Amino acid sequence: MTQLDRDLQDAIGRHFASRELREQLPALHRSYREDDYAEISGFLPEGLWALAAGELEEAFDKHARRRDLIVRQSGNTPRRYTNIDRDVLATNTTVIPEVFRSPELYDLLEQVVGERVLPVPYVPEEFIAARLHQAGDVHGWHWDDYTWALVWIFKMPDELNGGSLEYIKRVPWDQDDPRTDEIVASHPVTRRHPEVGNAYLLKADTALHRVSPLREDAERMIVCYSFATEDDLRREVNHESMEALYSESHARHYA
Amino acid sequence: MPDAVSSPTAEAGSVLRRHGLAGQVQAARSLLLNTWEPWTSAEAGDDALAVTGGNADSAALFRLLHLGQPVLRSMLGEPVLEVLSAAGLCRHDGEEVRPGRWQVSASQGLLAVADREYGNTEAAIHLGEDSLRFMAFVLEAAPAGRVLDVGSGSGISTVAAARSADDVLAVDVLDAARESTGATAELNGVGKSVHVEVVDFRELGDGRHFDTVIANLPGVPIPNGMPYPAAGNGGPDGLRLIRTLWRWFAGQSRCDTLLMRFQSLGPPAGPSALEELAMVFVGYEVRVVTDSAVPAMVRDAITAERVATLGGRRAVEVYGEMAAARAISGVDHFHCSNLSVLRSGSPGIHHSQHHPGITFGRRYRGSGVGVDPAELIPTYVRWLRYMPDEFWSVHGESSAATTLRRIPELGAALQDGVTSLEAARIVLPADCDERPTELAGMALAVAMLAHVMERRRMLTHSNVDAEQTRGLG
Repeated sequence: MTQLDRDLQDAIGRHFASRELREQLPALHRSYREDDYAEISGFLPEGLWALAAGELEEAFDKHARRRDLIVRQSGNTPRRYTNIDRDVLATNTTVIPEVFRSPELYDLLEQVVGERVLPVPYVPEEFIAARLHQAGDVHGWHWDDYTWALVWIFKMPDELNGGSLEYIKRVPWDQDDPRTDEIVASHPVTRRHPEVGNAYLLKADTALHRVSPLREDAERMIVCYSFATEDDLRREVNHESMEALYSESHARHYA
Repeated sequence: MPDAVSSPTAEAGSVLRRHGLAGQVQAARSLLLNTWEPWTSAEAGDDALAVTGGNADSAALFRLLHLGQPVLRSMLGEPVLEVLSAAGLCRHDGEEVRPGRWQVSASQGLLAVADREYGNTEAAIHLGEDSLRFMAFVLEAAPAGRVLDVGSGSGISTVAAARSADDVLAVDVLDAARESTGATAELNGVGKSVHVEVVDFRELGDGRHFDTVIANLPGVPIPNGMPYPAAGNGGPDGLRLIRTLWRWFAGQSRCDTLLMRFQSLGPPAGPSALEELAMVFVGYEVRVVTDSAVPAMVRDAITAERVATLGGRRAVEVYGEMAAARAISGVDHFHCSNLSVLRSGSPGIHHSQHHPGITFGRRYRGSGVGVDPAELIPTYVRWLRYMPDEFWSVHGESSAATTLRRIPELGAALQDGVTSLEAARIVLPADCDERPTELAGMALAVAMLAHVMERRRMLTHSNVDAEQTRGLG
């Protein structure tokens, strides 16, 4: 296990407070306001990114779990991929949990979305990692439990091979009757293919979204952070789909 | 899986889980960025806090059991009131229901009981930052097989271990811990896999086999002869019981793994106890992550306050004695760390630090980078939440408020090379040296401002650190 140190924490904080990132803010704010999506270029400096990528690869090699299931809550959509739960990342990596905790990151995100960005109260959902790598792998249509997903791109396949983010913005989730197919058939779908090294922020509680299926074996590796609004913390949140996908982590914290 | 309901406390746990009290506490923490308790007075009085987690039905439970505020009988309902009363968690007189001895707190889905007030008696059960950090460490480590919890206190780490272990023996020297650990286990539905004994771990010898030992022992440095709560008193260097456990583990026990929370004085670079660990655990894999550190002045000021309360002395006198001892020892920081020791791991000692690295004596210079003070406020407020809980014990709330009000003035002083301790004296009354906790709290608040400004590149470190522990001289 690589160890945390204060230099790492400092480097992360300085980066998110840097002029380079803050210069992106007007464009990020505009993109988020118009499309519920904002892509941050150069999410971390090269050295930190390389450290995070190395740790993540090692964690996938040693601790990943293959998932192949249908999630009822999102309208019986498929999940076929490999993932790593929050506790594995917290115990075996340094950069990923450190970035999640960085006060300067929260500041940056608040300036993008224009309201308070808060930690989620459900520990298994703080951060996870997912990897699509076999032909047919897909992260099917779904909504997130909390308002924002910040997805950090480590590997992306060629756009023609799938692995793109597809979403329909501003279609709230009716958990009793998701009508997923109907929404997909009747709304325009936006497709994004974010670049490796970037991270995108999506208003994921009201965007029905998926990662398009891989046509051939290829690598799509991401880390996803979740963040909450004040309203999220005042409503009852159902975590059933997380319980299905990250059952070990859920059992460890909330059995 | 939780045990079948079998006692009044287990039944109360079932009610609290059904009402989502643990989720509500966690949501309240997220809402207010309250990483570690205590709640500030403003937060505890905020009506919005009690309705987090979307569960209006349990707002009264949150107020009564967690915040310790009286509620009306009608707010709870008779069946719930009956269950909580039978478990001793509340008492009622007519229409008003009052909290019982234990505060019911929660973290990461686990409920735990502890005394509401800590520091006024020597036998109080404490649940603070160290307890919560250690609980998270145990949950992530997921110990299997048989676990021994030494110094179980509130029992929150006991139940964290019980999530993954076959069974847990929890031992403590305090009678009250038998009650608190037992209650915490029952509230979480794991009473049948947790056994509690009032015994000194040194009496266990090597006669019983455990796979893992977990321990969060008292680690506050307390000079001999000074009264202090047993849950915190670690003897003159804070390591009295801690080093005894290390030696017992290495010499007598046959356990494979030790997971521990420990405190140690040391220079800013890290705990002095690292050297001792290297000597005791030759051939073991030893990993230390220091996640909290404050100038020793802060720890000593809090300690002096508690010793003064228990011993009927003036805090400033007690503080003076402690500061003198600190000056002789030459160590000026108080570090809190998680430790894992593996008998069967790769030999060697690994240490890392994961905290803002606050010092009181550092001198900076302005870098010429200008930032609107208003822009610093959100970042500063977020960083305040990463302050160790010591901060909130040393007038943290008022110190933070003062700093926020006077950011331009304090920022300018820091840019001129004034240390955070010197800056604290600028904003406090002239007799502030008579109130060590107030001075320590203010210095900590200013030091955090310096940390934020340094990250925004408004300050550069001058590489000249003034001596710190002479601060009150």
